[in-house]
Amino acid sequence: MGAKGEFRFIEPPDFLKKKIVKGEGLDWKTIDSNAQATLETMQSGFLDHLRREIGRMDEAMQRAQRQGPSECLSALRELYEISHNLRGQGSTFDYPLITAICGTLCDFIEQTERFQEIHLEAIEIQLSAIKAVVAGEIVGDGGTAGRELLSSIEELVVRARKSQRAAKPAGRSPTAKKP
Amino acid sequence: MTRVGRADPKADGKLDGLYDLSRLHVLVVDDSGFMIDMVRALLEAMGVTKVTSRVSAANLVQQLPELNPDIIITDHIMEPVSGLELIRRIRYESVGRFRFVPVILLTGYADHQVVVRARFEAGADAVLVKPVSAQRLFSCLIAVYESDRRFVETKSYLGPDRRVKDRPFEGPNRRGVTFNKAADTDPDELVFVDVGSDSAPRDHGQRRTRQR
Repeated sequence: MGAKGEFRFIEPPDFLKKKIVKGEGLDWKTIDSNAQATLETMQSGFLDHLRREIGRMDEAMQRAQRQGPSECLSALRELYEISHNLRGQGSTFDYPLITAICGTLCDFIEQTERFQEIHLEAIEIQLSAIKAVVAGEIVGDGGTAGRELLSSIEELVVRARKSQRAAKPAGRSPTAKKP
Repeated sequence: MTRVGRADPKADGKLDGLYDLSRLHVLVVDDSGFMIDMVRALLEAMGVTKVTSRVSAANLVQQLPELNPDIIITDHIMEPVSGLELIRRIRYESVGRFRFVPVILLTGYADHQVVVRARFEAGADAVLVKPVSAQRLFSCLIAVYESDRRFVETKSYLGPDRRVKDRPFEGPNRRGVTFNKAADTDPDELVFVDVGSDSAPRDHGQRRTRQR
C-alpha cells in the first residue's frame, strides 16, 4: 500500500471454520459447570499466588523507598505491572477488593506526573490495604469494612493528588506514556 | 463455596448451541504464569485440548510457523513487547497465512481508547476486558468464529475490516448507512446518509461524514 487512500480487501485463510464444529461438542451449561469446578480448585492456589505477588510488591516498594522519588521509576514500573495483573485476576476468584485496590494503585502510579515522598507513602498505604485483604482472606466486597477501606483509599489518593499540584516536581511517572 | 469466575448474568441465555472446540490449538501469551494457567483451565473446560503458552511476546512472530496456532489470546501489558505491539508484528512481520491469524487481546483497561487502539489500529479481532470468566471468554471465541470478516489493508492498517456490512433489515425504513467505496478515498472515512425516519424526519437528506 503506497499512497494515502489506497486500500485493498483480502479474503483471509480460515483458521477456525475447519477446527470448530458447530452443532457438536459441549453446550454452555456443561462448559459453565466444568469451568466452575476448575476455578474452584484454583481458588486456593490464587491465595498462594497473591501472597507470592505481594512479596514481590514488597521488594519493589522497599527498592523504591531506598532509591527515592526521583530514582525509583523502574521499581514503580514493576509495582505497576504486578498490581495490573492482580487487578485483572482478583474478581475472577471472588476477590473484588483486590481488583479495586490494585486498580486504584495502577491508576495512581500511571496518572502521577512527578513522584514525591508523599506519593510513595500513598503507594505504601495502598499496598498495606492489599496485604490486609489477603491476610484476612476477604472475599466478596468485604461488607462495611471493605467499603470503608476503599473509601479511605480514594480519599488518600485525592489528598496525594492535591499535594502534587502544590509541590515541586520530582520523578516522572514510569507509565507516563500509556501502554 | 462462593461461585468463582462469575459470568455476566445479563448475558445468560445467549450461548445456546453446541460447539466442538477439541481440535482447536490456542496460543496464550501472558507474562503472568498464573493467568496462563487460568486461561488454559477455562479453555480446557470448553473442550480445547491443545493450549500452548508463552510468557513473552519477544520473537514470537518468528515462532508462529512452528507453533502453528489457530488463534492467539494475548495479554495487553507485557515487557518488552506489549500485546498491541505483538498484534502489529503479527500483521506486518509474519509470513504467509499467519498474518491473518485471529487474535484476542486480554486487557485490564476498559476505556474506549484502548479498544480503539487494539481493534482499529493494531488489528485485533476482539478485545476481552478483564476479569476473565468462562462465559466471556467462550462468547468471545464464538464471536470471532462466527464473524465472517475479510481483512483490509491500508498504508497504516492490516486487520479485520471494521466497517458495518450491509445486512437485510426487516422493519420500517428508518435510517440507511452507506459507505464510500470509491478507490481514491480513505477507507476509514465513512459516509452516513440519513434517509429520515417514519416518525421523526429530522435531518432528512443531510449527509454527515465521520472521520475515525
